[in-house]
This record gives sequence, C-alpha cells and structure tokens, in this order.
Amino acid sequence: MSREPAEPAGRAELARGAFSLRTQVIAACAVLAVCGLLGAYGWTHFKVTNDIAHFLPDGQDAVTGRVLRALATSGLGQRMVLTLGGAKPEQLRAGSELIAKQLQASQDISEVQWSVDEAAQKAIYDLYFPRRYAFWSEQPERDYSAMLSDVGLQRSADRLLTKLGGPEGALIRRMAPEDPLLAFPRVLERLDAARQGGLRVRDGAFFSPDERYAVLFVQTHAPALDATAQRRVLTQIDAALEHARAALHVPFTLEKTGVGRYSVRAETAIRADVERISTLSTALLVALLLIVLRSFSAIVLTIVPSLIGALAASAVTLLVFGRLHGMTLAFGTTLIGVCSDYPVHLLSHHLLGPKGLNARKTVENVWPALRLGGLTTVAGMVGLGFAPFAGIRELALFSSVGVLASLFATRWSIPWFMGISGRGAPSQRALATQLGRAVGGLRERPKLSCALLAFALAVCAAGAFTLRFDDDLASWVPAPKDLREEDARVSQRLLAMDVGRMVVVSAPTLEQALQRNDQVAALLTKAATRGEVGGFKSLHALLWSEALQRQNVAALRAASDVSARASKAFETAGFEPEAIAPFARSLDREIAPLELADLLASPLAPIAGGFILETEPSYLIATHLRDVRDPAALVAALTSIPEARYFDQRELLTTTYAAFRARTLELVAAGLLAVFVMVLARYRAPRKALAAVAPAVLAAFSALSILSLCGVRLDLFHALGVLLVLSMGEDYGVFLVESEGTEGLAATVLGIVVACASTVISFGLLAMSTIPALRSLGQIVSLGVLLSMLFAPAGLTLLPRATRVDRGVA
Amino acid sequence: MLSWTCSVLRRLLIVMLLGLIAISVSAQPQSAPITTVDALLTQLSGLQGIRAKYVEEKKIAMLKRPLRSEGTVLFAAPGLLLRRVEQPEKSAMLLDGEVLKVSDASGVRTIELGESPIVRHFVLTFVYVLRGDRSALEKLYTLSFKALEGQGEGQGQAWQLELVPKQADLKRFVARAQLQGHGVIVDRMTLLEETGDSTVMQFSEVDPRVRFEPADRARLFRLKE
Repeated sequence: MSREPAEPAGRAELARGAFSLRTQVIAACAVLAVCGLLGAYGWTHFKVTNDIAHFLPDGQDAVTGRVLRALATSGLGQRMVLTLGGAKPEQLRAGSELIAKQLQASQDISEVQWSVDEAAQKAIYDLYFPRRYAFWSEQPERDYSAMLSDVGLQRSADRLLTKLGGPEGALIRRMAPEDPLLAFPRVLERLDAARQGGLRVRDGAFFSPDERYAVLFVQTHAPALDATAQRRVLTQIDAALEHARAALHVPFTLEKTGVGRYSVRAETAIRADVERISTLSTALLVALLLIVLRSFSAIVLTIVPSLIGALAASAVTLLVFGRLHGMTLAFGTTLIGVCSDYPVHLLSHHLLGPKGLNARKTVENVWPALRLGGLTTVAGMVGLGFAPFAGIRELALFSSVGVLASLFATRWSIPWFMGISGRGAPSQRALATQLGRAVGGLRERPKLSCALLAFALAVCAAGAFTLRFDDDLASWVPAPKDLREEDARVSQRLLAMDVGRMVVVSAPTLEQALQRNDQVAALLTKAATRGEVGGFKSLHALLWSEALQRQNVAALRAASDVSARASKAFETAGFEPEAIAPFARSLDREIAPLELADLLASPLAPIAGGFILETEPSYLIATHLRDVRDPAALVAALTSIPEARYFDQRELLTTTYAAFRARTLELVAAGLLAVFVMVLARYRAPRKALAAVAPAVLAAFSALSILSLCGVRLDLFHALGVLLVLSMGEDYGVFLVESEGTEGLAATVLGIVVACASTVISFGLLAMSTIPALRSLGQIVSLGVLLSMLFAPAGLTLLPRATRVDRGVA
Repeated sequence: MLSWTCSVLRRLLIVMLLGLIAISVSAQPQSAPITTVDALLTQLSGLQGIRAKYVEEKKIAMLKRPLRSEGTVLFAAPGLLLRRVEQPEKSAMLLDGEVLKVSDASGVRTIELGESPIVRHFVLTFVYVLRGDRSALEKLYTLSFKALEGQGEGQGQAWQLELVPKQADLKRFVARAQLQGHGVIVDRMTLLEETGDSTVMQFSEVDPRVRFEPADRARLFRLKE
C-alpha cells in the first residue's frame, strides 16, 4: 500500500486529479458499449434449460439422464386429475360434464377427459379384431399347439357352447362364426385387466371405484413449471366448479393433483418473498451505502462491475455451451453479485485516502489486493471446472468469467467516475479509524485472536459429528402440507400409479424395445402375483412386438388342417355344419402385425404415446408401477432383461443431487488448495498465506457446523453457499493481509465491514424466506460472511509482529 | 381415455339385462287388480326382494338344438340381482349397481355397464320398472300393455307387457321383449332378436315376499356359493 503523504486539495490539484468531463463521457460510452455488446449477444443467443441431466455424472448413465429429462419434459407434468365429490352419482356425472365442457373451451387446456370415448371403443374393435390371432398368447408355440389339437378344438367348441348359453351369449353369438375360438374376447379381457383398479365408468362418465367421486383428466398446454399459465388453469377450474354448483344447485367439492399446483404455490411464495425481501434489502442497502459512501453515484458505481460481470459470464457461457442452465444463472449471478465488494473496497480507499489524488493512484494502491482477491476466487472455482458434471463445469465457467469481468470492470470502468480521492467526511473517517483501531487492538491481543480461532476450530469439530445433508429434492421447494394431503387423497381414490416409479427399457430400434417391453410385462405379471408390486400399466396391454405377433400367426399357420378339424369338432359338439364356415375363411387372410404407428394414428394414441419416453437416439419405453413393495427384488429380476431398469424418480434425484453436493464440496476443497498455493506464491510466506485463507475456511465450516448443531437440515444450497462464503471470506483475508501495517488498514476494514454488512443484510433477509432453497442459501452465507469478517482480523495473529503504525485515518 | 368394450359387447349386455329386468319383475306382492301399465308399475315399485327358479331356452341359428339351462334368481331392492345357473354347467351372474360380474368355468369377469350409454339405459330401465317410472321407460321404449283374459297360475289378473326399443342402437339388437305374468308375478319373458334368435325364460316357485337383510345380502349375493 502507498504511504504517500496527503496532498492539499486545492483547485489546481483537483483539476489535476479529476478526469475531465470529456474523458468521463468517453469512458461512460465505452462502458455502455461493452455492456451493450455483451447484452446484445446474450439477448440474441439467450437460451435457458432446466435439464436435470446436466447434473448427472458424464457418460455414467446416459439412459438415466434421458429418462429424467423425458420425465421433466413429457406431458406427465402437464396432467391434472380432478375428483368431483359431495353429491349423488347422478349429480356428480352432470357436474363432471358441465365442468368438462367449460374447461374444453379454455385456450390453456389441450384436453379434458371425463367420459368414455366412443371412438376409442371402435378403434379397439377395428385394430384388434382382425389381429386377434396375432395377440392370442405370450407363449404361442405352447398355447397354439394345445388349442389347435383335436382335444383343444373340442374344448373350444364346448366352451363356446357354454358361453352361448351364458350371460354373454348374445355377444358371443355375433362373433362366434368368425371367432369360434374366442380369441377376441381374450384380447378384450387382457385390455380390461390392464385397466382394472383405478377407474370405474358410470353412465359413460369416469368415477372412482367407490363411485363417490367423478373423475376428470385435464391436460394443459403449458408446462407444469409455467406458473402463470398454470394459475390461469386453476382459476378456470375454480370458475367451472362454481358454474356447475350454480347451474345444478349442488355444493360439489373438488380436489385435484398435478405438478402445476405446486408451481403456482411456489411462484406465489417466491414472488411474495422476493418482493418483501428485495424491497427491504434494497432499502437497507441503499441506506447503508448512503451512510458510508454518502453518494448515489457511488452506489451506482458499486453495481456496474457486477452487471458487466454477469453480462460477460452469460455471453461466454452461451458461446461455449450454447445455453444456460437455470441453476447456473441463479447461483452464478448471486456469486458474481458478491463482486460488488471490489468497488466497495476501491471506493472506501479512495474516499479515505490522501486528498486530491487521481483515482488511478488509488487503483494502483489497492489493485494488488483486489487482483489477488479476485484471482483466488477464480482459483477456488478452477477445481469445479474438472467436475464430471456438465452443470458444475458450466457453473465454474460462468462464475469465473463473471468474477474476472467484475474484477477488471472495477479496475478499468469505474475509476473514471470516482473523482478525486480523500473526500471522505469526518464521520466516515472517524468510523474507519474506530474500526481500524478495533482490528489493531485484536492484532495486539494474540491470545484473544487465538481463542477466537480455537473456538472456531472447536465449533467445526463439534459440527463435524452432526453434519448431515438432506438431498431430498422435495425438501428444497415449498410442498405445502395441504397440497400433499390432497394429492394423497386423490391418488388413494383412484389407486393411481406411483409418480415417477417405473421400469424403462431402452433399445436402438423400436422392435427391440418392444421385445424387451414384452419381457418386462411378463416379469411384472409374475412380480404382481408374488406381491412384489401392486400393479403396473404397460404398453404391452396395447402392443406386442412384431416378433411375438408373428410367432402367434406362424403358430396358427403351422397347425395342419385346422378348419376341417375345427368344423368336425364343433359339429360334434352340436353346432350346425356350416356354423363356423367364416372362421375357415378367416384363417386364410393375411394378418398384418399391429404397429406403433397404427396405434399413434388411432384414438388410442394418447394412451400409447404416454409410454414412449423418447425415440431418439434410441427408444425408451416406460412401464408405470404402483405400490412397489420390494424394489430390490424387482431390480434383481430385471437384470435378466437387457437394458431394462427400475427407476424411482425421487430416489434417483436424491441420489443425483447428493452426488452433486458431495462432489461440489470435494472440488471446493481442491479449489481451496489451489487458492492457498496462489496466495503462497504471492506472499512467499506460509504464515501470511494462512492468515489470508484460513479465516474464510474456518468461517465457512463454522457456519455449517453451527447450523447443523442448531438442528438445521443441511442441503445442496448450504453446500453451494460455502463456495460463496469462501469467495468473500478469502477476499476479506487478502484485503486485510495486504493492508496490514499500512495506513490503508482503516479504509480496508471499513470496506470489509460495508461489504459484510451489505451481504449479511441481503442474505440474512433471504434466510427468512419461506422457500427452503433460498432460506438455506441465506442462512449459510449471512452467517458465514459474518464469521469471515470476525475471523479475518483474528487471522492476522498468524502474521509476524509488524511495526506498530497508526491505525487511524488522517 | 381408453374404453375397453366394443359395441358388440354393449349389445350383449343389453340383451342380458333385458333378461335381468324380466327376472326382477317376475314376482311382486299381490294387491289390487292390474289392468293398466300404471297399475303394474305402481305395484312393482313396492318390490323388496324376490326368489325364483327359472328355465331358459335359447334358440340359436348356429346350433342344431336349443340351449336349455335352469337355475335360480335372487333380487334385492334397489339394485342387487343374482342369477345362478345350475344346469347344464354351474355359473353365476351378479349385478350390483353398474357392475356386472360373471363367474363360470373360465373364471370371474367384471363388466362395467356404465361404459355404454345404451347399456346404461337398460340398467336404468330396470330401475325405472321397479319404481314405476313410466315416463322414463317411455323415453326408451314403446310400451304396450295388455290385460289378458282369465288369471295366471296363482291369483291376480293376467297381463302382457311388450317393450319395443325406440333407439336405433337398441333396435339393431332387440326386436322386442315380451313379459307375461299375473298379478305382480312375471311368469315368462321372451326376447326376440333381429337375427331371429330367441330366448324364453319361464319362472316358477316365485317368492315375491323375500326381504334380504344386510347379512343375507352379504351371504347370498356373491358369485361363489
């Protein structure tokens, strides 16, 4: 730091020290041009993704990533289930119809299903009756040989006779001439079995099995996370309910499930939080900066570097990755936001420095500290650049670029507007002097400093035994109890499939995928019989692989003289000689296998399509599960089927984020080593390097420990917060070490206190958020930064005793 | 949403339920003479329960000989109906509200009647008959009541009620259903199909005064004996 004597602030000196208006205008234009260029690039290339796959380990499990991505982007999240209750079934049906018709007119809703689709009924007949023999058996060789033997045909004749005399006789009678072996009823029974359990149909309308609730399915156009659109849908549903109540004079009750409800509730909570917190935070920060810096222009100057940093980070990340991940944007900009410490530090020195100097001089004095602070922050994130998670690498690039850009923006953009130095008011100088002396006092009481550091170490040690992270995604976002209970009630009523639990097969071709899906269906049927799963819904109910269909047809054709033997068997049983002549003719007809394209072109497309998660670069077919009682047994059984795996979305996300969190902490630790090496290289003195870095480390982990000891459930956002604490804490340490023994110590301490106070205000208010993720970040950062400020002066104890200097400001 | 029945199945159910309707109205407490359809429906509305035996004969074109079966029927107001076939092979059919369950040698099947408006109409027909709702019945059928001369096997005025479907869908299946009885007892139900096939059910040993307590319902109205 400079030890130049203060110069008198005469007119000539002022004229010499300040930049001319012309220079300032040019500089302002240059800053605006840079911002404009970066902003223009970002604006024209802006693309945000929330793809969870970015936070999965590279190449470890591509299918896992694709499944998670498909689940996030598929229509599943856009589906809402409504149950209408509180009335007699006849009234519920009428209410359901009214609500459905009203919602069908909505621009935000793509589909409302409340009743049986007659077109689907016809489609089933048209698709499956001509192919009934292709869907006869899952083990065609065995079953066809038994069925088409003389004994088998005789049994078929007897069975048909029984059916004709039974309650289904009229139906059977119509199809018997062409289908005396009753292949089509067998297909219908299979389709029906796949539907049983969750839904009942009454007078054409969907009902819960106990008929106490009419059921509607609503598909929205907008994604589940589009809270604005989802809010409109919820409003429309409420309006439709009111309409039905008024029209029918029935006090209907309506409950629903759907991800969109959580989005709306979360958005409402976040908006309320953000409005409250940002208003309060802005007011307090402005007040703080006005008190300390006494200038609105100074406040603007503290914002400019962070703004340039964020714009540069966005532009470079978009250039490299082609898009920004939502988490990168949110967390990265927060991290870059802490770079406002740099202009605060610079302005503090400029205000309290020798009078009448050009800002360049102040910059020259504080630049080494700023540069080291900024570079160590970047070095701390270098480790993240080697993470096996694309998301972390992106975050590392974004933050590094942002911090560097902010650093250089501090160096090159704001000095033009800072005026001359030494304009600090007496009260500012008095405050800085007091703070400087307090730090100096601590410096001269090494026992107190050591006690403070020892206490921090003890807290870390105590916390290490209680440190537990909760990686359950559900705990990060608001999941109000009332919504969760409503979900549970609706699911219970419908025996719905478990959300996110499924078996997924993958294969390069559709046919291979269908073959594996056939195997999965057979396996799950056995698992259900053994009670390992409560039920499942599979594409297999609608579509078999072409191979299995062809095996069925081939087995039918392989039997010799079927029509003659069948005629004889049926005549013997009591049928007229020509009774099954159409059957004989039907045997000669070509049977084209049913293809996925046929289904997707039929009214059954919405159902069939729901099982296909992806078709490129390979096919992913899901089977949805209910009540998985023995996941381990299921996983073990699935090993027999190539590329078939069990997914529990919630568990998978929890595991994924746990790995992400653990790896982040590991890489932060590695980054710390890099920081220490860098600081060591700068000072060439281990104690000095330790004094700069150790307080921040102690502060970060003390904060984690304190929160843990207080019973706070730690999560990924606490871990990410550690990175922020270290970034800022290291800066404090570096600034103090750089200022140690110089006249600038008081200004440094003032800058640190202002920076710390602003951070504690911002993040402290965030800690009061109702959003768990924001609350976590707020807790760790506010506490960690406060501890950093307290520990940083104590860290100076590690330095060799310096020559005593006056800690005040002239 | 997928519907799991085809139109043919729907038609089957119509025919089947016509049979059920006929069975259900086959025995009623006897009171005032029944000379009009209103009188018949009024008395049927007092129905609490029925137990009867039946013999059914189906003439089907593709069979050399008619199919004959016999068994018992049980009805409990307002919507429980069990038909148990004893000969030639044991089977059972249970209607509970809008759910029909069938049990035979091939197993148990559940059929959702509500999946088709047509079938639903037939279920409602059953309800309409029991509660004497003539206007509802007339939405679906043309009713033709005729008081016959003399009395039936027991006491009461003999009568004949003919139901002719109004809707084209129903007409494609059922040409007409004819109920014959005396007093509040249906003795015979004839169902004629468009194809020429026919079903005749003859009822005997009708007990129209049965009251099924909840315990009886749980014990008797199930597929397995």
